[in-house]
Amino acid sequence: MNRKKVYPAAFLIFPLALYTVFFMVPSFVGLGLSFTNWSAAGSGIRFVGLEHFIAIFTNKRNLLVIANTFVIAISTTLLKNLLGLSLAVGLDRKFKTKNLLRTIYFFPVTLSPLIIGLVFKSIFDVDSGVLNGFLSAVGLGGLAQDWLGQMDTAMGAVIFTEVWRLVGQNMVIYLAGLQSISQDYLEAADIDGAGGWQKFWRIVIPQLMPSITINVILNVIAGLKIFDIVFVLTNGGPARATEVMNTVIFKEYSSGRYGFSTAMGLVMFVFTAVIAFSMLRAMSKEE
Amino acid sequence: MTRRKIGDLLVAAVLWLLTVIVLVPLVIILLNSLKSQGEAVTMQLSLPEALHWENYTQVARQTNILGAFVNSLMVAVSTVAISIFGASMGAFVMSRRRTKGMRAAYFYFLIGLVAPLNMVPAIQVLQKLHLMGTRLGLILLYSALVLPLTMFLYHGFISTVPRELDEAAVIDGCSALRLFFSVVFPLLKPVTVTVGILNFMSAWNDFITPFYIINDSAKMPMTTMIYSVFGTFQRSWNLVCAMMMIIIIPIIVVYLMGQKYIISGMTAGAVKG
Repeated sequence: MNRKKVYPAAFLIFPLALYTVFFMVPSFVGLGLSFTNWSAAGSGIRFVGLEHFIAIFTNKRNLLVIANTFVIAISTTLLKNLLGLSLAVGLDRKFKTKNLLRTIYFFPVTLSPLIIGLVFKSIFDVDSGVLNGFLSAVGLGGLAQDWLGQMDTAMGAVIFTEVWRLVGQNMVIYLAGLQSISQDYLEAADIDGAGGWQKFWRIVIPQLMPSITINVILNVIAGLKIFDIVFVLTNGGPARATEVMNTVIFKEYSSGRYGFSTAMGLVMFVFTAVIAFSMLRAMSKEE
Repeated sequence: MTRRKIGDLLVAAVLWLLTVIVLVPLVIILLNSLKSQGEAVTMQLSLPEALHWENYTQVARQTNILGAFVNSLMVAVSTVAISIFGASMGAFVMSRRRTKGMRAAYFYFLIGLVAPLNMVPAIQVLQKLHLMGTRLGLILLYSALVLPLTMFLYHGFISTVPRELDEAAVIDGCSALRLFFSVVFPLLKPVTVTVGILNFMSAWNDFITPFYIINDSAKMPMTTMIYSVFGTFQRSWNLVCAMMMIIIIPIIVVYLMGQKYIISGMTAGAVKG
């Protein structure tokens, strides 16, 4: 059988062209434009060398943005994994309503983050929000506050909302992992007299490594790329306390500073790709 | 009752209690979409005094929500069709011919699985192609963005389809095109359904891309339409909620019909790593 004839390379032309033109070309054009002062205001495009990158990595305002992005990526990754695994362990037990519960917990994953952002904006509202209303109703009115308007709670609100949105995705990935663990291992451990926690740490967790790897990587990527939730909830405020890379890219673009916006886009591209691939490497070695 | 059974019941009870956190935001949208404007102003979790179904007709009259619905549908369906067509054929060849070049091509696609699109230069590319601000531009951009995941899922699935089938078909005189479309492609149905649903949802729900590239309100999909209306309707949460319901309902239908496929897509690679 002639492979080249039966599996013609021509089948690849369309997807390669589509992906190259609309994904790779922008990435490479971006590489060039990041070194220019291209903007809506200026008359021509001038080469400015590393100016934007120096600004991104030395200017305190921009370093704060990178720090915020990492705070969100790391904390949401931890929380989504922890809660997702807890839900999965609970829903891996055998009771009647487990399928309905899985359906409910997974549902937010299918919703538009824009809508989620808008609803949580109303929930966190200082005057009429459901959260403050609930706190007063149960006698914890003292805890009621301007969740989105204060520097120390705004970040927490963003993290909570993002975790709410994607914990179900972690849950189903862990459920799939749990279901692939052979019962023989667990039965053998029972015979050897292992307790519940021992079984969990010595058998379940090591067997779940592929699921943990996938979840950690997916969550870190999602965290670094976060946009809609932040944009709608706080728009980076108050006082840039929740400003992230993707909101800066949008703001710089809107104010016509295309060169800087592109440079920030490139930094996000490199961060995500390098972090994801090196984590994949490191974590698959451990398995 | 055994100890294990009691444990199961306790776990079930706790998990049911916790669903409140998941359901409250959704119930808020539903309830407020049926309230009067004055009642909905504070977005409370209370039952409406009377059911104001006319919010939905009012949204249809005062905004171009129906046009936006058609735009979203058109964009999402075209994205699904283009990505399935491109990725299935590409993944088939890459999965069957494991040469160095093919492996490099596969890796080239996988970069898009993790790395985000650089938006500003993408806009420049669209401008050069006279696609900026058009639905076709949006469709092609989405198709390119979902291609890596679609490719990845097809690639994994195709390696489980036995090669002997290809050989038998070729001996029977099938051309490459016929082999793929009439023998192989029908066998890929489970993964085709999965990527179809996943890509539909990502195009339907996406906000950031049209926010950058579509300015004309006649061409806006639902998400950007809601956002632009949100500004003008600030005090009319009842109408905003009605619009949200119009976005959510098709997703609920798709979700309930295709839950199995969505989850199999999201967990692919989770077990194998």
